[in-house]
Amino acid sequence: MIQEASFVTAAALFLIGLWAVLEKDNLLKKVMGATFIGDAVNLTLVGLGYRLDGIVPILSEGMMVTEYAAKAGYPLPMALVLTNIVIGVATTALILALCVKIYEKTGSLSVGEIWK
Amino acid sequence: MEMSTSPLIALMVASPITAAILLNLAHGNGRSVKFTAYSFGLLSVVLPFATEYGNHIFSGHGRIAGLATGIIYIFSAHTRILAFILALIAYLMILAYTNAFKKVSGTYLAFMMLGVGATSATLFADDFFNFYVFLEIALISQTALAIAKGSLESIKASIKYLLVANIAGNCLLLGIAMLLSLTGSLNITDMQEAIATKGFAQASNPVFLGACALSVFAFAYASGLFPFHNIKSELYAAAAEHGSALMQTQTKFIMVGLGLIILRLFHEVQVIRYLMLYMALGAMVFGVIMALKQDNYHRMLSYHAISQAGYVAAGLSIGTPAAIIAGIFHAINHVLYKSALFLGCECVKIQKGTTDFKRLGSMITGLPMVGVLVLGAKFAISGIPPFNGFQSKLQLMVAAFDAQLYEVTVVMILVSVLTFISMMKASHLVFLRPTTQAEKASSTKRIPKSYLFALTVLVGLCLYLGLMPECATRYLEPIAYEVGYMWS
Amino acid sequence: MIEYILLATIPLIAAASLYPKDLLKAVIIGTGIEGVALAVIYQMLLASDVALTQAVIASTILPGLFAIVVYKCLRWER
Repeated sequence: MIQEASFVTAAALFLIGLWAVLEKDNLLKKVMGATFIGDAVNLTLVGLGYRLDGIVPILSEGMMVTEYAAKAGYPLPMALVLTNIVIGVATTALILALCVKIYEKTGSLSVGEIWK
Repeated sequence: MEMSTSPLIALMVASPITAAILLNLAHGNGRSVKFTAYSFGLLSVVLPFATEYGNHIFSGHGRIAGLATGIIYIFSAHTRILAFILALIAYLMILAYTNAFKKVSGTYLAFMMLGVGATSATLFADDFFNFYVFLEIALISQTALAIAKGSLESIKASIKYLLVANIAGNCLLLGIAMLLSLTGSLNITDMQEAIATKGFAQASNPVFLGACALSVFAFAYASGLFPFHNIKSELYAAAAEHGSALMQTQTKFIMVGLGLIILRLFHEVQVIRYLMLYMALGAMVFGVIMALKQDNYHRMLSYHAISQAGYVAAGLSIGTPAAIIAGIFHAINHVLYKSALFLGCECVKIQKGTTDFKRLGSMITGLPMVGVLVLGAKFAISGIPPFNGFQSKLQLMVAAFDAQLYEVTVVMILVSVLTFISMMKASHLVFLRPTTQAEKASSTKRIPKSYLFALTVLVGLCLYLGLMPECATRYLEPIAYEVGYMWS
Repeated sequence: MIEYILLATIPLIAAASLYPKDLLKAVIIGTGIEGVALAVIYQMLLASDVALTQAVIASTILPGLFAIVVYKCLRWER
C-alpha cells in the first residue's frame, strides 16, 4: 500500500515540478521545479525497490544468506538513486552559478525581463 | 561463464577523463596544458584501431547463466569508426584552439576531453543507466563549451539548455525505471531477450508504452529535433566556432547511440517510428528555413546543423538496414564537413572580427586557401558529387524510396536544394562579394597554420569518403543487419 | 499511518513553496523541509543509504546553495 501511495505522490510531485518550470516567472522557482522533477523520479525508483514486510537490504551479523534473500528489499534501484541525486546536485549547482552570472549582467532574475 | 574479451575498451573512456583531470590541474601553465592535450588527444585517435572487437564486463564476474552481472561495454565495427572520427575531430579542434589563442585555458580543454570520453562511453554502453549517466555528462560538457565564451547571449542559451537537459535526463531515467520494472535488468541485450520472450513487456502494456515515449522524448531533446531545435541551435551559436564543431559532433554520435538503443528495444511499437520520422522531417524543414533567414554566418551554420540532424534521424527512424547504414554514414559525413565549415567561419572571424553578413565580403583575397576548402565543404553539405554528402544523401533517398516512403524522399530532395541555395548565398556574401578597397585593407591578420592543416584534413576526408564510400559503410553493415527490421 | 500523512503532505509542501514572494522562505521550504520529509519516506521504503544521502543533501547542501544565490542576487521577487 505504501508503494502505490509513493507512486501517486511521485506523479503529483512531477506535475507540480513541470508546472513550476513552465509557468513561474522567477528563475529560482524554475530551478526548484527542476529539483522537484528529480525528486519525483527518485521517489519512483525507491518505491520500485520496496518489498512487503521486508527488511533493509543490509546483511547484518549472523544473518543467513537465504533469509536475507527471502526478506530483503530490492537493492538495485538504490544505486541508481544515489547516482541521480549526485547528478542532480551538480547540475543544480551549475545552473545556480549561471543564475548569479545572469543577475550580474542584467540586474534581474525574472524570465520576462531577461528574454524580452 | 563468459568473461571480457577486450580490455582496452575501458581505456578509451578512462583516458579522456584522466586527461580532463590532469588538464584542470595544469590550468595556468601553458606548456604542460598543451603537452597533455596533444598527447592524450593523439592517444584517443590511435586507440580505436588498437582495440580488438569484443566486450568488456566490468564486475569481473562475467555473464552468469546468460545474464549480465555488471556493466558491459561492447566494441564493434561501427563504434570503431565513430570513436575514431570523434577523436580525430576533437584533436583537430584542440590544435586549432591552442594555436589561435595566446592564453590557453586548461579548464576549457578539460571540458573538451570530458565530452570526448562521455560520448565514446555512450557509443559503447550496453547498460541503459550507464548510458544515461554519460549522456548527462556529455550534455553538461557541451554547455561548458558555450559558457566559456562569457557573453550574455551565451549564458542565456546555456541556462535554458541546461535546465531542459536536467528535465529530459530525469524523464529518461523514469523510462529506464519503467523498463527495469518490466524486464528486471538494466542491460540492453537482456532487456531485448525479455521483450522478445513475450513477458509483460509488450506494446499493449501502458508502462512499456510510457517507457517508449520517454525514451523518444530524450532522443528528440538530445538531437535537437523538431520541438527543441531552437534551444539546440542557440547553444551552437553561443559558443566559439571550434567549440560548436565539437558540440555538433557529440550531438550526432549521441543521437546514433540512443537511436540504435531505441530501435533495439522498441521496434515492435510502430507508432514511434512515424513519430520519430515526423520529428526528423520537422527538423529538416524548419532548420533550413530558419537558416535562409539568418544574417549571421555562425547562426546560419548552426541551423544547418539542425537540418542535417533531421536527415540522420530520418535514416535511423526508417529502420530498414539500408536506411540505418545511410543514416550513420550521413552522421559521419556531416560531422566532417560541418566541422570544416565552422573552422572556416572562425578563420573569417579571426580576420574580420565579425560574422555578420552585412560587414563581410571579398574574403577570398585575404583567405584564398580557406575559401577554396570551405567551398568544397559547402558542395559536400549540399550533396554535390564527388564529395561525401552526395553519397550519403543518395543512400538515404534510395532507402526511403525502397521503404515506400515517397514523401520522405521528396522532402529530402527539397531540403537539399534549399541547403544548396543557402550555402551558395553565404559563399557569395562572405567570400566573393566585391567590396571597397578600404574594407579589404582592414583584414590583414594571419591565420595560424593549424587551421589550414585541420581544414585540409577534413575536406580531404570528405573527398576520400565521397570517392570510396565503402571504406566507411563496410564498418556499418554488421550493426545495420543486426538491428534493422524491414518496414512492414 | 504516519507514512501516508507524509506522502500526502509532500506535494502540498512543494506547491506551497512556490508562492511566497520572499525567495529565502520559498527555497528553504521547497528544498529543505520537503527534502527531509522525502528522506523519512525513503527510510520507510527500506532504502537506508538513500535516506542518509538525501537527509544530508536536503538539510545542508541544497538549501545552502540556494541561500547563497538569494544572498548574492535579490531577496524579494520583483
